Amino acid sequence: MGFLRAAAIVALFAIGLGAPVLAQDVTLTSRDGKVSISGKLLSYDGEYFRVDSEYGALTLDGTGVTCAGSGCPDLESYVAEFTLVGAQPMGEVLMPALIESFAEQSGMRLRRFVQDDVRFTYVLSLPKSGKAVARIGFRVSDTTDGFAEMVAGRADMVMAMREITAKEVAAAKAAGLGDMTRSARNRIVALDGLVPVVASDNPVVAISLDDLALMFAGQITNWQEIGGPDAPVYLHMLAADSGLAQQFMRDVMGRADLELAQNVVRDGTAAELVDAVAQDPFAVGISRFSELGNARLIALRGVCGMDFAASRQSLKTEDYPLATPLFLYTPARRLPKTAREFLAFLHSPAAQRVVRRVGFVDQQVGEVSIEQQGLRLANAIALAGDETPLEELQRMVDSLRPAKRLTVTFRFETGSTRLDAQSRGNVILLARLLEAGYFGGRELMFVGFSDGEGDAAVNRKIAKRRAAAVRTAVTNVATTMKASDLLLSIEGFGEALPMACDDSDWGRGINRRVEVWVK
Amino acid sequence: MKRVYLVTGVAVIAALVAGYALLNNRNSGLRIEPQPLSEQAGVKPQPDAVEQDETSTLTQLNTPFSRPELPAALPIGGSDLASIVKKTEQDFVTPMSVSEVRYSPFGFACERRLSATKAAGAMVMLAFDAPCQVAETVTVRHKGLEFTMLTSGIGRFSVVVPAFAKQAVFEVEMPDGEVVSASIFVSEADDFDRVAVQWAGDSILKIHAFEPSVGLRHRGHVWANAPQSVLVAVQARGGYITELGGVDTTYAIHAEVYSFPTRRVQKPGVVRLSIQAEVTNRNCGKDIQAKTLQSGVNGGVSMVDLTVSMPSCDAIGDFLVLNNLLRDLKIAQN
Repeated sequence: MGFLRAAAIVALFAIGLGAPVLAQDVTLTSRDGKVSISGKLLSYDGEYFRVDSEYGALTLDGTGVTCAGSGCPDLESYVAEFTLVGAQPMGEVLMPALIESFAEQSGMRLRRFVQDDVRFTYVLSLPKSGKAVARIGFRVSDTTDGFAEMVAGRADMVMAMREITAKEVAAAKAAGLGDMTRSARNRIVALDGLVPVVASDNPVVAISLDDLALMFAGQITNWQEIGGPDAPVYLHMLAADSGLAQQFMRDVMGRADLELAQNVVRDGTAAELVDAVAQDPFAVGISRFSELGNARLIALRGVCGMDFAASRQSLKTEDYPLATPLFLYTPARRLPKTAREFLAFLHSPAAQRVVRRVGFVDQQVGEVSIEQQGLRLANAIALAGDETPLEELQRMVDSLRPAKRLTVTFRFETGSTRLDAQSRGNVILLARLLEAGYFGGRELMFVGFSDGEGDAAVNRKIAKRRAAAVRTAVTNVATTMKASDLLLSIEGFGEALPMACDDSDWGRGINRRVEVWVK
Repeated sequence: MKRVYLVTGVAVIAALVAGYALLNNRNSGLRIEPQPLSEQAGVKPQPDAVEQDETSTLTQLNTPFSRPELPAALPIGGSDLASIVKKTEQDFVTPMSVSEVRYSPFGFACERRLSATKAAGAMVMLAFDAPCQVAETVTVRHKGLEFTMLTSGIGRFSVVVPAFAKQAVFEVEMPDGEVVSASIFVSEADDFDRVAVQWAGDSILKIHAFEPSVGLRHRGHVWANAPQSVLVAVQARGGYITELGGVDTTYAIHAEVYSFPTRRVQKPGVVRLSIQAEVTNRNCGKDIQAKTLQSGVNGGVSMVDLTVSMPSCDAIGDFLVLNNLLRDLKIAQN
């Protein structure tokens, strides 16, 4: 019986979508008949007409005009249509799960029309009448293709495993899609991390970023060289156009100025990669935190002995150096109402639960008490010396002990004062929480830290200035928050609480940060 | 010798007389008249005994025909009676139509009963008995799982179904729309992750599970042709496939369930799941209507309606492999 009903809905859907909005001639006339615009109808989103007229592309409010001509949409049977194109890790599980949860939350029925694993469409319909409300297309490829498809006008949302490149920004701008670097054009859906993986019976538990780069450059060819068994190293990597491989090339190989070895095995998907690695005790591969399969992740080791393993917490705080936020980019044009509702849903706690449930890291803000940060404090004591005397450590512990660290942390792009992508997302995240009164009268401390290069007193000053800059960035966004609502203090402890060793670029990058503590 | 005959003859005659007397005792003088029991027992009834001691209780037991009057105040009042009746109705899980009792050709009352019994591996054995529902297609439902069964020549079927929840309710719907249900508590249900695919008609969708290898003999690829047994799951060594749906008609609904004892397995890892469909001359170029069930992202069981476009008929013999309709099962480190 359920199947007959489903068949009926399919039939309805076929009729309802018989005439999708094609570029056809329309004439839109204002209600008083005085103004009239003719041209090809580009789109109709249920509220607004977009017409390619003699004056260029115009957007007109549907309530103020009447439509005449062969291209006029049937207003009654309007179905919102939008298409997501891009990165496989987002397209295969994460975004479909979010669409399914969105449909459930909005009380709509849902049917998935499947052609294959990379081409499918969701149709959302009203539960009683079965009338289709939205038709959401998916094309799963890779980040680069997603941006290209958006520029070509075939994608309304780009699923991206990396930030848009300068070249892609220019192409989007030229295509009239707006400035894709603006915060309204992209949002972080979930967090992930780039992780080296080995088989569970490989004894190696950590590797330095430098050694990892040397391995993939083919300069370390035996596990013995990094303290493992006397056996050759087999390398696995995703295809060159995947966002993950590109990030690895930029953040690991690029920093070490090394080229990828010729004998790297290229796997089609992260799942195939980890499955291949899991079966070979001498293989190492680059996967993501959300796809470990039956393989095991290995930690990143600093030369002074601190290990960083990817975990939910270290990815949220970006204390893990290879965190990779997952973005959704949208062009600067009006999206259908259902699409906008879906974008709003992505920030809800329900959506964050879905993110967690399907194996990615959510952006729910957590609090970490100082008792859970023993290792950091031990490091601070171990590295204290002339530059950071005991009094300075005591001052720090005194002010942080009654407080808890938020998982929201702010870091900067390499060699720049610009916040990195995840931190820019955190500005909006924290501002939204402040506006919602999430911290209800507690004090928020913006605590700046620096790397250990240069004079300690100067570093303290720089650290405090960074904290002030981040506080300003957050309060600028949290416009509806009254300044009197909450105490937002700043503090700078310079190089007193290092997260990583200052012996490498990435180590220094991790140390330059602004943490947020709440009490 | 003569004396022997005589004795025998006397015995035979005596037996005949006795037999005659027994046969005719209803209207003969030999009939035993019933007598008051009190007199048989040799004691007088005590009609006014209200206060009872041990002796009088014994007396009563011996004199059922002359019971003393019961105390005037009965323990069951009007409202109590209503609540007891209500409770009885609540506990009555197998409704039957009793207004008019009919009988099957074999003389059994036309009742419809469904019983649920626990089986190994958090499975439930359903036994359906409806003597007047002979060779009929009925629909079995449980938490979104749905399949059809054909009743036997005496109106029965039995099937073992994986429980999708601890508090498992099973329903059987008859062609006339009547629903019979049974419920059972399956304490181990939460130890298992279950995924299912179900479809109408004869298009065959198969779940393929690729389990992390546990031992040398464990190949890890579980599907309908290598379904693995419940025993493997009970021993926490792997999962198993259950095929459901016992009718082969156009409107029959089939389901396939894969169960994995996620909460019992110690080693972390992942079970990869895919759905595969062979392109045949009957389904090529057509749309298959199907449904998937898996644990929902918000808890419970989530269902997704599917329309799968089968490849064109040049691809007959090929397999359509869909890796992303069912999420892989993740076994967390305990």
